[in-house]
Amino acid sequence: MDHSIIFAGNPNVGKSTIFNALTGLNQHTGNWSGKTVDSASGTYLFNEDIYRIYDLPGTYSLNSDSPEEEISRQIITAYNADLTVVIADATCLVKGINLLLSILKINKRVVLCINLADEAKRNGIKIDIDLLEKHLKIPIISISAKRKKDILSFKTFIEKQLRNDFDHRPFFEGKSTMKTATDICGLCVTRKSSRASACIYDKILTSRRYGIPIMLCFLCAVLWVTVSGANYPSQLLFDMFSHIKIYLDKFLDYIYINQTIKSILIDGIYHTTSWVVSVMLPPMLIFFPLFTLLEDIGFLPRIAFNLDKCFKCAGTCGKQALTMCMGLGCNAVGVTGCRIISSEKERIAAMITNCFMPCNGRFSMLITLSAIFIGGAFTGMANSFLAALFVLLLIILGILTTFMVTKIITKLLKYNNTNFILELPSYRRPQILKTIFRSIYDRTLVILKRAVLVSIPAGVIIWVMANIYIGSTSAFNICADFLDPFARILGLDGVILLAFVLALPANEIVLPIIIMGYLSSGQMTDNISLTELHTLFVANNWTIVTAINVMLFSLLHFPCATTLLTIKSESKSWFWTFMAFAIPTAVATITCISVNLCSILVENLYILFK
Amino acid sequence: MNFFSLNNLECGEFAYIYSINTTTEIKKRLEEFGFFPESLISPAFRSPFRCLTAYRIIDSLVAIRDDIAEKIIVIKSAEVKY
Repeated sequence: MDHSIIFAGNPNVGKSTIFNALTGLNQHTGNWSGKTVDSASGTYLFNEDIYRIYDLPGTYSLNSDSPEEEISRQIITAYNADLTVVIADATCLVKGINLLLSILKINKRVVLCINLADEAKRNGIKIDIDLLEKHLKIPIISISAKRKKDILSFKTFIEKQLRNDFDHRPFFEGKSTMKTATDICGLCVTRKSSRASACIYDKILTSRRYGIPIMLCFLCAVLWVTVSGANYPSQLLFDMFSHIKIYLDKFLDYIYINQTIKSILIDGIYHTTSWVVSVMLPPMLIFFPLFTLLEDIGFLPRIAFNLDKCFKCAGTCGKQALTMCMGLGCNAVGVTGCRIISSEKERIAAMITNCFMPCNGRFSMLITLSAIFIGGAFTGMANSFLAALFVLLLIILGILTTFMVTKIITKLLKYNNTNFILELPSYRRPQILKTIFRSIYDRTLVILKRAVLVSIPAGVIIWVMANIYIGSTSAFNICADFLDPFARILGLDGVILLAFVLALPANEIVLPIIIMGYLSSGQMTDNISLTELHTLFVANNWTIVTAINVMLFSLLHFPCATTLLTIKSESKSWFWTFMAFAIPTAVATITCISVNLCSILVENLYILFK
Repeated sequence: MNFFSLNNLECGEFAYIYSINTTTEIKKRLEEFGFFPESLISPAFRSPFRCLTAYRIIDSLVAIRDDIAEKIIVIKSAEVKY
């Protein structure tokens, strides 16, 4: 038999964790409200029956305030599921029961699952389940989603409830649902220990003196570990792909494939894809697990808390800090995350400015160029430390640009301001190995897969541009020469600017296109060390100013095609999608022109006074 | 009885909410987090830039801005401080 079940509940109660445990899927989980912004579905088999689960974004009530709450409300009210499971946090039961009571007014087939029972026990919280069942008049189960035996108990509980008749609908009248929930919890929940220890961490992390510096230190530390840890694995991957290429070459010769097609496959697709994997994968394997650990501990909402003043000055709210953090991995994910912002004008501003956070594709290029030109003058730890510091400065510049552009956009738009209310979850001990594995699987590999899929057609386009000749010049060089005068104003050259244009499908391929353009070989290079890259760039008239302009343009320019399509899907507006392309391009252009002019001025002054 | 606006409560002091004088929309949203008359509330800590305060209310920590907090009227409780 086939059964449909809805998982509803407040944000950050563990719906997705239970969903993943049941279905084996990998919904993204983390310790902050608003993690899930879209409904997801999955199935599991139990005792020869199929159970289809719909995991909804968290909602505090059925009065929808933001888009993801609207999704939950619509599905709960309109979809005729066999059972609705309201999942509540045992450490904060009142809000969960408030939502439960709201749902019970419209739907009788509801049960309650109290999650995080282990955390409640650790915090000295005792819940009298029998008394709670007596008051609520619905079946209740208490579990800890991390424990396998609890998940099995949950499956058995669901199976049993689906056979129940839910004729008797509990009836609550008079007081508001929140008042009723508070009264019921007052009778059924006892708490003995204080929360002093949690406050100590919060007092340090949010203090006037230490709060912001600690945040910056965490970010710098994560970046430094990423920069210093990524180089050696990248080189190993380059070597591995070079060896595979030899066998691939022989295989294609063996099957007598046409030489042009072979060139497209190897020099176009294989080289582009292997570059993307070699450059992207090592930083992602380090950055994402570290970031996910911070996320699981509960650090991210504290960032939103600390920075709310800055966002308020920009006309928005601290929740944008969370969407910017998501954008550090992938801007398309950051744009989707903007659903947690309830005000439409702030949501649009957050979507348009999300690209000022360097996504993983641009991240790797910033690290490479920073390591070559900024850290390159030094050796050992100083090299990686300075490179990381410069990348941190670029991220801070991205943040400041976000504030500035957000302020302008929110001033021009006339929608209502947000009512910023942020729940700060308790700190949770992360399950380190599980977190690392999960971040590798559901972040790293997913983004890598997208990058590989995008780099395949991009590789074909690059090959065509580099190998189709008009007269004695390739199409690539013709386009580069055409763009060169404008690029020079930006402190770049035609090859660099063309690389950015061709890399619209994926930012990861900017650097390999630049290298291919300079080598004029019609193919991507196999194996190029940082030293060789430096030599190549210098031979093509790069200076430190060129490198800085390239990094600035990379940081601030238009988002990739996937992000633009996501913006169209979220905003439902071609106008805002166009603005999401035009505004960052304008900002990047103005910034690079300014830096270029300043460098020319400084150079001339130096010559004058020398 | 001494009435205060919530933003004037010191960290660690307890108070009961007396009334919420915001728009209906904000009031509804606050209610979802446990902000309603007779709720016990206590400021836990303030943000570095002092525009946001985290309040302990009904077993959770909820941060609201001072411009909303000043519209919430509370009566100080004589209970134990943190």
